[in-house]
Amino acid sequence: MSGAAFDQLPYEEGRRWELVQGEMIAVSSATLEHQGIVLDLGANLRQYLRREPRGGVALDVEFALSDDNRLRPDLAILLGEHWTSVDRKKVPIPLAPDIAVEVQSPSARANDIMRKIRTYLAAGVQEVWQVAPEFQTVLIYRGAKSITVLEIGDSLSTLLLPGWELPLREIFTA
Amino acid sequence: MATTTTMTGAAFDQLPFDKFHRWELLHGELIAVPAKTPRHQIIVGMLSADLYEYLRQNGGGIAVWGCEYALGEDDRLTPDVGILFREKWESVDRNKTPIPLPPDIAVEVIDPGDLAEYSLRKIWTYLGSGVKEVWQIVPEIEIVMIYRGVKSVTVLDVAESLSTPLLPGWEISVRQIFSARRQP
Repeated sequence: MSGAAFDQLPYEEGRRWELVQGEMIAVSSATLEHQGIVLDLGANLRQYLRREPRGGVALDVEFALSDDNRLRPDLAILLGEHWTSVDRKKVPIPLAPDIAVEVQSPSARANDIMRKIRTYLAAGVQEVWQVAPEFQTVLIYRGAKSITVLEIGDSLSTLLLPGWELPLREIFTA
Repeated sequence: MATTTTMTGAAFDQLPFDKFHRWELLHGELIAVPAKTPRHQIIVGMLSADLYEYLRQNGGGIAVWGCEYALGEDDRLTPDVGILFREKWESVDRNKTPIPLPPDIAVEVIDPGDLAEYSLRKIWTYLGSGVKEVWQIVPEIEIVMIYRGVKSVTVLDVAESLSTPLLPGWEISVRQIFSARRQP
């Protein structure tokens, strides 16, 4: 269906769908581990962005990335004007976040994850962080051809958030 | 989530032959392999034939599809295509399964039913057991990802060609890999 039709769907408690290239994709219920990681990482980013007012972090908010894409990253970071210009009482957010974070759940399909990552990047998301708890790994996509793999001994950081850094060990202790 | 079944590789090897289901063992966890789609099989068949022919001509080894490898005590994986270079190929008993060593190159085509975490874990398991390159083929978005190490990933799109220093002179365009999957 189109994004416009998707936007008209009745509100569901714990809405469980995303729209990727016009195709409805079921979002699985989150596990405790998944939510723990999202909360810890989100809180850490939020603290940083309070200290360094460069933008904001959104948890499980829907973004209208284009006509037929409605995605809800586990965490989204909006920087600068993206953050200041957005209407905080409205959903979906009509622009692409600067960073999208997806924490992989046990039931996620490989295809769905890859399509989402590609959709984010095509929509203008600067970085996608794919967090894989199963293997205690974070993959950073900075474009369709640039993937950086971080392992448990590494730290997550980015030029987009100067001074922010988080050891993977902390992400995966949740 | 389905309940997980764990066992050792030795126990896995003793399971009765199952006509309808395929299983892999990943870190001791029994994993059902989804039935293949036509698109999957066409890609595997075409790529296997191409690699087989190349390796036959230069005597460099063999490309086989659907063979099981014992990669460690608790790992039994069946890559869609496994490439064994000559030295390894000459050392294995061709009448026995699982093959008791890792292939030099493992090729996995991602299916609609494949779970993301298993796909990643499989790649790490291959590399950890000594596989030199893992090619992950993603028909859904028409890319090929080459893993040459846990930290080394190369992404190829349809405008590019798949090649590797491990197979000198061999090359196939990514477009060609996916050409058979398009609907007429």
